[in-house]
Amino acid sequence: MDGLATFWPGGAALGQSEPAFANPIFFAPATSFALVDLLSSQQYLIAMGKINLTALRVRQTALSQFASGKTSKLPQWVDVVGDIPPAETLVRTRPPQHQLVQQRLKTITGTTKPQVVFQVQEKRRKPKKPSRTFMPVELKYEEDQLRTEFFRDHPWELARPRVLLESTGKDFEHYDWSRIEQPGKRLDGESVVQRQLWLLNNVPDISKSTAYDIARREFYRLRLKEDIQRRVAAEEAAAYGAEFGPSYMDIGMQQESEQYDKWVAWARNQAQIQGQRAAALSGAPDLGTENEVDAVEADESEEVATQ
Amino acid sequence: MAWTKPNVVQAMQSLRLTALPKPTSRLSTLQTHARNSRSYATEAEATKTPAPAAQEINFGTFSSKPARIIPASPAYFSGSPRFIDHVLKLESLQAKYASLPTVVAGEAPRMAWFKLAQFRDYVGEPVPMKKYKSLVKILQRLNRIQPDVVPAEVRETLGSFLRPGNPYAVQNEPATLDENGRARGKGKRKESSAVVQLVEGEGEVLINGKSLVEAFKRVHDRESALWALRCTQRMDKYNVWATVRGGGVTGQAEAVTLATARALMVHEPGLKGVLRKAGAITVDARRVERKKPGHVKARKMPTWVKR
Amino acid sequence: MIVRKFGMRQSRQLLAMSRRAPISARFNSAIPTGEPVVPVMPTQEPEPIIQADPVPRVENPLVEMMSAQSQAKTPAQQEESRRSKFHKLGTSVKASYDPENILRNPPKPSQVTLEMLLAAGTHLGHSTSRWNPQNSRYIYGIREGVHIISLDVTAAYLRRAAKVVEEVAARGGLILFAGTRKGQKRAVVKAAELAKGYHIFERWIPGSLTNGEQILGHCETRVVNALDEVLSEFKADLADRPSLKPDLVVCLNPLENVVLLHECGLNNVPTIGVVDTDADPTRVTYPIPANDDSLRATCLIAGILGRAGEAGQVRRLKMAAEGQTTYKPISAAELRLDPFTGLPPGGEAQKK
Repeated sequence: MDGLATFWPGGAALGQSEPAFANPIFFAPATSFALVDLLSSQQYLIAMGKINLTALRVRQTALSQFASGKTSKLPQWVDVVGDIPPAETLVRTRPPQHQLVQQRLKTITGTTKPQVVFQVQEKRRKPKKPSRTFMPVELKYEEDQLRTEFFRDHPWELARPRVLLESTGKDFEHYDWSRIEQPGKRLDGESVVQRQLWLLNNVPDISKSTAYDIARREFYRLRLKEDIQRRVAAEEAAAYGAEFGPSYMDIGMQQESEQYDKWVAWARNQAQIQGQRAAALSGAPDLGTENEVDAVEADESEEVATQ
Repeated sequence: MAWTKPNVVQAMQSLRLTALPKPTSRLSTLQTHARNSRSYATEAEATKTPAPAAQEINFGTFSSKPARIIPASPAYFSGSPRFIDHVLKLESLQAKYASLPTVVAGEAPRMAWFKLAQFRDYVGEPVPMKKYKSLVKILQRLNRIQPDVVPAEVRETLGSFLRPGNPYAVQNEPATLDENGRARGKGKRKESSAVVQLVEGEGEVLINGKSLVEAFKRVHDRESALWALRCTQRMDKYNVWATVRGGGVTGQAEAVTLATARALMVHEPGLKGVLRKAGAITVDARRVERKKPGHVKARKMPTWVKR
Repeated sequence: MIVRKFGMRQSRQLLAMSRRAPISARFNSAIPTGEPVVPVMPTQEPEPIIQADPVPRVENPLVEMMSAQSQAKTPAQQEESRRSKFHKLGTSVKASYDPENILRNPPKPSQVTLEMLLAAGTHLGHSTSRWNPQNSRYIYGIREGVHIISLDVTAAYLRRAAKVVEEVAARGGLILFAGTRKGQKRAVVKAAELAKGYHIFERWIPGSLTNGEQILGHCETRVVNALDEVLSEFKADLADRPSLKPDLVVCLNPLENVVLLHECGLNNVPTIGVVDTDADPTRVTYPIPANDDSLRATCLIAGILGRAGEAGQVRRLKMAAEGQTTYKPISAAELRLDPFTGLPPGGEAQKK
């Protein structure tokens, strides 16, 4: 990985270009205009192997075409691209490394006032593969764990509708998690998570389970309140003459019984056909077949009754 | 390959190094035009420097001097700029007047839009069928705006897409009996076309001067030729005198059906419903499918032979 | 789960690592630009890390009403004030999201903030298995198996691209906005309208640049003066000129427009492209690392670039009004020359 550190100043002689060619991914086109100006794009392509740098080298190509007389006029953008050079796309940098940082308020022995402490959770010292050096790292936040825990305990909270749209991206600025209710935000699982996080960050010497319990209790209380409000509102509306129509449950039951009725009609028809067929085969109608039909009908009515 | 070896490539590059002249001298001539003042929209307003004071210029010559060649339409690079300009104009109109009340499609005034070929002539571009259909869809939506509130702008625009002359202005007068009490009807089926003169009478039938039995050997054809009279029980109340040309026997028989039914409707318009239900006035537009290259018939493929 | 409070979290962690916030501080409107960000050591006093300006609390009209009543002297006055205040009861929706707003009134490049980009969803990349490793520069991290694009990089590259668009517009270059995905039409047309550029929202016809004679030959062109007024006396000279080529191409979906970008390469035209984590950033001259699958994101980017182009055009016309041009105008003599041989009409005959 010594090629990583190779920095190639613009005035470097051609003889020094070997490491860059040997390891093309670390080649920085923006830092080497002096050389690049002098090469035609075709040559460059051959030298660079698979990577197509035509787009990055528009200015050099335009200049060399003009110098060689291929074009009679320089395009308008030549000095624009010169002033604002294309970015260094191909230089690999080490991606930002993320660590889980926890903020806590703790009373340290010997002092009276609690102090803010940042705990960086050190990862397991597992040697990283060299091939993973340039791979992005997983983003981790403290509330991830809190969120998993909450939704594992309350899976039906996930079934509630919620708004994922961000209007300005600054929505979080209007929230103050010193209380669980927020203006303009519906109470949901995320409220509990954020409230718990605030407690962990701002209450001295609080444990995670205590914070969870506090946040949860507030949440349950508000949910209960919501439920009561909804019921009272419905009762009030009903008292003023509102009609809500059949509930979803009623509609479902009605559809189901319609299907049963259909089946009864169909079964009756089938039984009759079967009885007629049996009568035709036996030659003369006898009493037994009629009894059968009656028996089938009786069965059906019983079935319907039990359902 | 010796070409791919780096030292050879470098040798080529050094050759080019010596051969290419420096382009800077010609660039510098342009800089007087280009680098007068630079300020970006990305910078705050306050940091922008005021433009340099204007000098004495002769605007008479300045404004008559050509500066640039530019496309006439913003859709130049799409290859069909005039069509796209029309579409965008219609879409903006549609969006502008989306809130106006509309009538149902059947009640909107009937408009004769350009046929595809006429539209292609109108815009002078090879517009595909599908795209023209989508344009017509917008036209139809605009046409459905309630006639007494249509803005003048919309009316003018829609007017420019009408084909010259108004084919829907001439109302076809309902056919009447001639002075001898004959009704005339025409009908087509497959390659045959029939003209029928229908008079009140005793049920005599002459087809191309021959009797029904001579004209159609098959009973089925005889039945179908007089199906219109038969299904309305008018077999013995009219005399039929028919001329049929072209096609085969079945086609001729069914062409006579259609022609008879149409003539019968002149005598008794009240029979239209019965005839429609009996399928006597329904035009069968099916024709023989064309033969395709690579096929034996329209769809039949030659037998597959292994060698 | 959901990436929110992104900028804030990011800076909190950075502060905890006692590192100075890098470029992000320039774009983050939450951090006051005047004072430097002081890294907080664990042993220091607790203090708010991000000094967001205090959010004005929603005034409670009931409380106001009560206070007004206490101030009023006579019962009649009280009644009057109560009646006037009564109408203020209830809620009023102040800020609501209107998806059309970004289309009708796109922000200027100087108004770009990280929050705006975050709300538009420009940070969402593709599944980690679909990434192009050349994009590793622009990737901030992995979240739920999806690459997250670094918003400060996006903002920086977006501004760079906006500068290019503005400068090219100021020099009278032809700017082509191309977005051929379903739903990008209005954004592309709006951007072209703002920047007085050109648009492609349907399929790019292959060969429009390399075989322009055949494909764009019938499309109309015109000669204009520096003030963009049409000069019709040169119409005859346009007859046998080669078709025009754009000076800058802005492509909102480079993945689908490989042919367009290839033709730009062959014709040596600089390009700007929205590069998602699965796209190849070397296809375009100026990549803007962002989510190209979200219409809101591409609409925002197209709008910003359109605004930049608008500023450039304003500058160009202002200079033209003073009798100056930022580019070398085509001369009347040049127009009359044969574009292929470079000779005046009948020049070849004289040569012979």
